[in-house]
Order: sequence, then C-alpha cells, then structure tokens
Amino acid sequence: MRLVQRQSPSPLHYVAAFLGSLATVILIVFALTGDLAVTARALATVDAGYLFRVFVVIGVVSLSGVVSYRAGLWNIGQEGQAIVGALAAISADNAAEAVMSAALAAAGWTLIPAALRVAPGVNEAVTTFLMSLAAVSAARYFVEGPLKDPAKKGFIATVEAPYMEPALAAVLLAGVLAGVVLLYRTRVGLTMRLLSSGEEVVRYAGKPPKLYIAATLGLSGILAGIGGAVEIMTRDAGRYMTLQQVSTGFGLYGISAAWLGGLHPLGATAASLYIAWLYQVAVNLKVAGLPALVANALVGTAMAWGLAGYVMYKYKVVWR
Amino acid sequence: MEPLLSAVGIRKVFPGVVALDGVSFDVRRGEVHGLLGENGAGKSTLIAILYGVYMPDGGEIYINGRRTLIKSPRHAAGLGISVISQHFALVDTLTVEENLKLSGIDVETAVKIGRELGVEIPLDKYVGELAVGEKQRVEIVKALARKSEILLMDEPTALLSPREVKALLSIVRRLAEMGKAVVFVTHKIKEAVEAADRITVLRRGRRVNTYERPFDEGVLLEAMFQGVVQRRVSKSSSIGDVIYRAEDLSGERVRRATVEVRRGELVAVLGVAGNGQEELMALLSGFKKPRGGRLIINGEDVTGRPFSEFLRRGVAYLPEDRGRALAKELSVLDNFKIRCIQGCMEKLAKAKEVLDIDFPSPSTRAAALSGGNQQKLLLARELWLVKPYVLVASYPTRGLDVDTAERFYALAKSAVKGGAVVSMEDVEEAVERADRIYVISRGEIAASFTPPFDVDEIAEAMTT
Repeated sequence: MRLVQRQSPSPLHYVAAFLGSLATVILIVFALTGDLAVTARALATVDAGYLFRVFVVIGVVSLSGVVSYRAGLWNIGQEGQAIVGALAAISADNAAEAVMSAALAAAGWTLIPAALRVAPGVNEAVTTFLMSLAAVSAARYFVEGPLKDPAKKGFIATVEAPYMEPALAAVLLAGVLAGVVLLYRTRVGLTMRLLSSGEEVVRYAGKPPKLYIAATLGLSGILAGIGGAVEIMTRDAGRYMTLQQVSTGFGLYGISAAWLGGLHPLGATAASLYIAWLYQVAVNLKVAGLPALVANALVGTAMAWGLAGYVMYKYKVVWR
Repeated sequence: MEPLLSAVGIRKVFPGVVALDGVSFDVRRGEVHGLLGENGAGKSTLIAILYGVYMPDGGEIYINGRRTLIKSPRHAAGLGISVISQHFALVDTLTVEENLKLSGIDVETAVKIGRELGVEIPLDKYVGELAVGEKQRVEIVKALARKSEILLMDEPTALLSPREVKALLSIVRRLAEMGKAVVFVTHKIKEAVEAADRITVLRRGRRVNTYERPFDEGVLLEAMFQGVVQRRVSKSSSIGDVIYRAEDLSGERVRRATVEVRRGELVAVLGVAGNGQEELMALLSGFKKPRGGRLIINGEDVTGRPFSEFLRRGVAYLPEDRGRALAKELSVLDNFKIRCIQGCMEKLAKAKEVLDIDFPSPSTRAAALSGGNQQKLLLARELWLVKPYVLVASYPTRGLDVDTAERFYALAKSAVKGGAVVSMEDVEEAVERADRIYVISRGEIAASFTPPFDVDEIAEAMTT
C-alpha cells in the first residue's frame, strides 16, 4: 500500500471524513451508555444558546489554525494564546477594549515563537506548544497576583471580564471570517499561502519571507487570543479565571475544526459548529454521569478524521 | 529474434488525459531500443508501466514470451528489470562502497562488473562528491549486479555534460554487447540515432512508427512533430549598448566573474554541470547577494539590493530548480498571480493558448503538471506576462523537447526588452543561439567568445 498524490485534490474526502467522525462519535457514545435511548438523548439534547456560544469561540480559534497551517506554519499553541487573550480581556473595562487588548497581548505572546523561528530557526511547533505551558503558569500568577479579586473572600479568582453579548460575538466571528476570506484574495494573503511552498518561493515573488512568517504567526496568535477573550466574556456567569480553571481546551477544539474543515475558512467555520455539537454531547454525557474528559476524546477522534480527510484530499491509496 | 520484453496495445488514462493509447513496443536481447518523443508523448508513462509504477488500463506485457502482470517496482526488479533515471537511489553522505552494501550488492562483484563495462567504481568517494555521470555509472553497475536483463534508461543524458554523454552512449552500446536489452528514452534525436539499433517514436500517447538503421534524422523529426517545428537560427541583427554588467562578481563558488549584456543580445554562459553556473545565475539575477563585485543595470549600481528591487527594474530570473519559482502545492492560477495583478484569469487563458500549456483548469495544482508544462507556465509568467528588461535564465531548455525549446527562444526574442543571459551546457545550442558566449570553469569565467564561433575551441575551453 502506498499514497500517491492526486492530480486534482478531491474535497469530497472531507465529507467522508465528517461522516466517519460522526459514525465514530455515535459508536463511542453508544459504547459508553450501552443504551439506545440514552444515546439518542445524549446526541439530540441541545442548549441552543450554549451551543452557539461554543461555536463562536471555536470558530474564531479555528481561523487561527487556518491562517497558520495554510502557510505551512505549525502554530499549535492556540490554547496558550487563548489564555493570554482571556487574561487581557479580564483586565479590560469593556468588550471593545477587551478584544483590542486580547489581540495585542496574544500578538506579543506569539511574536516570541515567531522571532525564534525567524532568527535562529527554531521550529514553531515546539515553541508554540511550550509557550502554552508557560501561559498556564503565567495565568496562575495573574490569578493569584495582579488580577486577583479581593472581594472574593477565601476563593482565589480573578476579577470578572466585561460581558459580551452573544450577538456581538457572532458579529465578531462573521467579521473575522470575512476578513480571512478577503485576506486570501489579496496579494498579502497569496504570499502567506506561498509560505507553504517554502521561503525561497516567497523571496522569488519579491517578498521578505521572514516578515511574512512573523506576520502570519502573529495573526494566527491574534485570532486565538480573540477567541480566548470571547470565550470568557460570553459566559453567562463566572467570567473569571481560577487557579484550577485556566485552560479551557478550546485551542485544541479550534485546531480540530481547522483540519476537519479542510483548512478553508468557510469549511473550518462549518466544522466549528460540528465540534461545538460534540462539546454539547460531551456535556450531556457528563450530566449522565460519565467522565468530563469524554469531550476531549470525542474532539480528538474528530481531529484524527480531519487529518485523515486532509491526507485523502491530497493523496489516494494505491493497494499494490 | 524473439523479444525479451514486449508490450502490446498499452493504454493508460489519467484524469482528463490519455497518456498512452494502444502503444506497442518490444526490445530484444542485445539491442538498444530508442524511445523518442517530445514532452508529453508518453515515454515516461510507458517506462513507469514497464517498471510496475503504474498498472496499465489496457494492453498486455510479455517477458520472454510469457504474459506478465508487473505489479510493483519490486516485482519488476524480481523479473530482471531496472530503471536508470535522472534521480538516483544513492545516499550522498555515504561512500560508494557503503551505498553498494546498503543495496545488498557484493562490492567485489560490482567492481568486476565495472571492469567488464570499462567503468571505474570510486569505492572510497562519498556519493555527494561524485559528478552526475559517475553516480549514473554506479547505478548501472548496481543494476547489472542485480542480474538485470532489461535496463530502462529514462532520459539518462538530461543532466550530463557533453563528454559524459559520449561516455554514457558508449556504455549503453557495451550493455547491448553484453546481451542486455536496453530501452533508451530520449527527446534528443542525435542521441537516439547514435545509441539505438531501433527507434520507436511516440507522439501524444500514440506510437507513430518503429524505425531501423540507417536512420534518417529528418524522418524522425517529422515523426516527432508532424513537421510543425522548424528550427530557427535567430541571431540579433542589431546589438546596442551595455545595459547590464557584472564586475568581478564573487559568491561561494563563483570567483571574480565579469559578464556583460548589450541591448538585444542573447548571452550564453556555457560550462560543464557543477562549475558554478547555477550560483552565477542566482548572483546575476540578484536572487543571491554577492560576496564581492558589482552589478550595474543601465549604469546604476544595484549590488546587494533586495531581489524585489531587481524585479522592479525588470530583471526576470528562471532558476534551474523550478521548485524555487513555482509553489507546487498551489494552483496554476495562484502561481500565475505571483506576477499577475489584474485580469489574471483571462491572461492565463491567453497564455495557455499561446504557449500550449496543458492543464485541465486554473485550479489544478502546479505539482500535477508535467515538467515541460511547469516550465511553460514559468515562461508564461516570467516572460510572456512580465516582458522583462533583462532575462537571467538557468538551463531554461534542459529537459525540454525541441518544440518547447523553440518556444522559449522565440519568447526570449519577442518578450525581453533589453537582453538575456542564459546558462547552457550544449555547445551546439549555444553556438546556434547566442550572440556572445562565456565559458565558466571552476567558478571562473575561463573565456569569452564572439561570432564567428569555433565549436572545438569553445569545447576545449569548457574542459580546461
């Protein structure tokens, strides 16, 4: 068996990957519950408001993945960038200021791996991942220190982030989506995509590759940071961070949606809705008494299917 | 004599393209059978089928008269079939001896075979240090050590210097004398005529005819192109002032090279492969910054400026490695847009028509195009679209058939507004095309020639 590159990539394989993921989820849920009625309830029970909120957050973070991976850059630190964005949002006075602060803070945070990639050539997959671990520690410092809410007696938590209406969050997602789609129609967007073919091609196009690497990673970080800010600001209650609840997991979910969506902005957004539904299913299972980590398992299978879809999109299997 | 290998009515279809349409072909023991055709004729596809890379959609293959289904390259190797191509299965960081051992070949046997073939095997040398011809000879010895009876040689001369080509052709004849069946794929008529006992011409996936000695080059040319190609010897009628000058240009391999281009001139940089031509072209185009020397365009010193500045001044660069200039994972249209600003779909459609570029749709990935079509796409973008002032091209006709090479020179003449500097390795091509020839040897400009050219003198300068 070997993989042969397709002459014309086939988008239908993403549909196949989606169906494969769906079938896997149904099987897992049935295996966990062992009951058809409970399975059906877990799959069909939906809190529309909650689903929508999760969809918006994952949607924004997935676009961070699209921007990075389509340029051939491996930013896998969306989780850390989202944490930094959330911290910046907590320190802001209103939603607009929070989004701006989150974007700036996440950009600064991502510029560290970007600089390490551009100057000494350190692989960004390693540094963005390590920066996620650093983000957790940094967040705990802020929770206990500068952002600690003194009013919460005997409970270590930050002050609350400003509230963002879900409708406003949806507008933000639409804006980010439109921005990324439009970006890819510009020469800057084309040059970012050229990066996936190597720095030499970018230089041949007459553009500075290092600048584009830094800008692309920076933009990817900004989007993940905004995703983190939206996540904390759209909560109905508890818009704060505690020592135990720093990381939300939406970084991983966004990456999964990006791959399952074929690294296309619209595909990733559509896949975000599916991942959000998976999250809802996981919550339903948790309510039914199953472990909370089921959510990660379900999203993990979706990510595996997404990667399989990407491989099948580009290659065909030859059985000989 | 009964054929050792015989392919009957081979058909292969790729999406949107009939690569081979009922092609029949055979090769006998002790024979060199030339497979001649332009790019896209189906030669490489036929070789890939005979080596088990592709399964045919129709037709049959017989080995020693027995119908055989070649399932994979491994299976082909087991049947005594080997491929010698431009890509070598050798590890650069290991010595030749280590490479032979890695391939499970007895070193003594390899040396003995080399002796029989009249080839010295440099066992202690690292493969990375070997010239292309030497690597190829190691591959041939490997194939013989594996007791291959059928050798499929796919464009084996594409990367060789004139001297190495001669050596290879005599090895090919020697292989036939040893009783091997050799399939020699080429698009160069002269090579096929020199090496082959019989020649089969393919055109657009179909077999035109099989010819026996003595060959008539005119008939072969007609068979390859149906008479559509006429070689044009085009020299510039009026040569103007110096528009581009490199003074004492130095790089990693290039040392103090001085090259000048006058308006309307086509300048050839000629040399045996691996003498610093590629770096010289990169330096001349501004793609690589020089360690020393000066680059002057229209009297203005542009040394050390970014490549974008060279582009702005109308310098176009066609690198030897197309991967530098084409984003192979992106679509044909996206690649075209690297230089195109407006109305790109229409311009691409026009370029497709003018240059006869074969791609199913603008969204086709550049990687899916054949090598020749990738080169045409590059020519369309950098020459036809941009209409540069100065063209710096590194082996632009390497691997191209006569028709596409003609298109390149026609385009270079019509689209380039100032002058062109082109690296070549074929003396005859340079003499035929260039207004001035620089010979590069060991990174230095060893000599320069102006018409009337003396081929022997130039060839000698190349090998000093």
